[in-house]
Order: sequence, then C-alpha cells, then structure tokens
Amino acid sequence: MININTLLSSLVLSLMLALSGLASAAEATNATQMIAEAEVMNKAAGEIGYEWRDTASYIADAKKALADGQEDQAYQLANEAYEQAKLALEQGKLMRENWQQYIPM
Amino acid sequence: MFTTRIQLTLSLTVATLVASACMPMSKKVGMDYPALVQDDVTTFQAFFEKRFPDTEKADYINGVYSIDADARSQWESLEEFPPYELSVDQGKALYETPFANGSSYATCFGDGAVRSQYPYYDEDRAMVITLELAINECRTANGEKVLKYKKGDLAKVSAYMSFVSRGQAINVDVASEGAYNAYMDGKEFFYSKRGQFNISCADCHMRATGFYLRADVPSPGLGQTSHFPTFRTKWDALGTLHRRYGGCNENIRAKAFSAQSPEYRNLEYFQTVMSNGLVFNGPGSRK
Repeated sequence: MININTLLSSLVLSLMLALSGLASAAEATNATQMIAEAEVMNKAAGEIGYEWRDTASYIADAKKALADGQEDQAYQLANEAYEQAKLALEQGKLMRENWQQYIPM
Repeated sequence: MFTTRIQLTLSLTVATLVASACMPMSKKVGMDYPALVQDDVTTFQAFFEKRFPDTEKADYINGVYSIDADARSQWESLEEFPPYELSVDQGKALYETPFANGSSYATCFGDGAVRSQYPYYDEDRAMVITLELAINECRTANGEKVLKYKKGDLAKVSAYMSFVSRGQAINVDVASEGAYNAYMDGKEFFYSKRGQFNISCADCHMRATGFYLRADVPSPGLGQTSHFPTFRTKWDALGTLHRRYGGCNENIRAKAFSAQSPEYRNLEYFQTVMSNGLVFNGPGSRK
C-alpha cells in the first residue's frame, strides 16, 4: 500500500527530474571550455554541500591532460566531471527539498 | 490550445500546493522544541527496538557489537587488553602538562570528567560546541597552538577526558530556536542521500544495520556517538568522531567536510540527541 505522501513526493520528484532534464547541457566545443563549465557546475554543487568525492580530481586530471597536449582526453575527463557535478547539484536540490521523505519508518 | 495551457498550469499549481502542504516544515518557530525533539528521540529509538528486539537499549553504546554476537566475542577478547590504553595514558600526561603560561587543561575543564557537557548549543555564539572544539579553544585561550582535529594529541586528550567520564548520561538539551535549527540541520544531514553512491547516514545505520554490506555489518545509528574517540584497527590509531564522519562520506564518494565544520558539529549534535538516555563509554575500539 503506497501512502499519499509517498505518492505525492514521488510525483513531485518525477516532475523535478523531468524539468531538470530540460536544463541546458554543456555546450563546450573544446576542452578549455569544458573544463570551465565543469568548474562552474562543481562549484554550484559544492556551495549547497553536495560535491562528489572525485569530481575535482577529474577536473585536475583534465587540466593536466590539456597541458600535456592531449585535447581529446582532457575533454572527456572534463565532460565526466561536468556530468558528475550536474548530478550532484540535482541530488542536492532534491534532497534539500525532500529529505524528510527519506526517513525510515 | 489556450484552454489546455490554462488547465495544465492550474493542475501543476494545485499539485504543487497539495504536495507542499503534505511536506512537513523542516524548521519551526516558537514551538515547544524539547517536545518536538523528544518525539524524534522516541521514534528513532523505537525503530531500533523493533529491528533488534533482543538488544537491550543500554547496550547500543557498544555499536555493532550490540547486534552481532560473533563479532562481539572477538571484540570482548580485544577489550581485555584495550588498544586505546596507551593513548589514554598519553592523553592523561598531556592533560596534566602545564601550558607555557602555567595554566593547563584543568584550568578549563577541572578534573576532565566533563564529557556529558558536550556537545551543547552555545546561544551567544549561535553554534554547536563539541568537546574537541572546546579542547582547542582552551589551548588558544591560553596561548597554545591548535591541534589537528582528526587524530594525534587532541584525540588522546579527548580519549582521556572520555575515559574519566565513562558512565555519564547522554542528555543533550535542545531548548531554543537556535538549538533546534542546528539540530534540524544535523537531522537533515543524517537523512539526506549524498555522494556518487546516493547513500545517506540513515541508509547504512538504520535501513542496512543488521545486514551485511560486503563483509561488514553497519552499526546501528543509536549510540553511535557514545564511544568516540575510537581506536580503529583499520586506522591502527585513535581517531575522533569527525574523522569517522569524513571517512564515511568518502566511502559513499561524497566530498568530506572538514572536521569541526558546522555540518559535522550539527550532525554530532543530532546524533547525540538521538542517543539521549544512554551513557558515554569512550574511548572505544572497533574494526
């Protein structure tokens, strides 16, 4: 039996996830831009206390790869960091609004 | 088309309002804070009473060993020659060594048996004060440098003070709006999923406690703050509660907060309140 609060919170969460999917994705066309976008996104996740453990390392590795002339690898690493940071930010926003729905009974 | 758009807008508005009405406010103003918190304590402790009906409430201070008989027998053997014993002796020596100005920890804490006074909410400073924070503030007030918060001499002093405080009741007050807000911040932290693994403190220490996660059984959330600082075999050393918090966060692939950050102090505050009615029994030893 699903209680009404759980059902409603699931609906709201689904709606928020759907809307978050409409948010603009990274539009970087090169590694330098991708690194910059990843840093901005990771900073936003960190500001609400939800930065993930490895994201900053991916960004650091991307910068090193770029400095070593490995543009493709740098882009991929920065893109991974960006995707992690984006999920972390979504996680943080969802939790800040809905954490009480996750208290075990 | 126009009508459909209005209907959609109205539907979303109604859904949002209904959902908002069903979601409890996280912070409340002008309420009976002790009563609100006592409801939480009762509910929290009842969760474990229901999950582990054979475990005495007082035994939760022994962490996972209160619910895992096999691990307990090994731990009890270990406790015959406690691995933290040397650290307690070293902590005692540090405690009794005068600072450069002639004062000592005793100037701040008397005989050191003050574990049950921490954590508390300082109304003037509008923040939670933990024992480890107070130890360092005692040092700086007497012209000494701060010690690192996760291990080493500070953990040893804390271990000594915990040792001489063994048996003191956990009875943390949450009596004001400021205290309640700090408590609620800690509560939110405890129940919020975070990190790449999307796991909350409650996922491991409520939902999964009693079950194996890989090779280990997560300890119950009740009683978790009673026995720190703790000597962990994994660390091969004594560590503070905030060191453990950082390790937990890293394990779920979340970026850890600094020891004694507001996040961890508030989490300690909430967790200690949840253990009201138990006793402090630090330092402890764990795997």
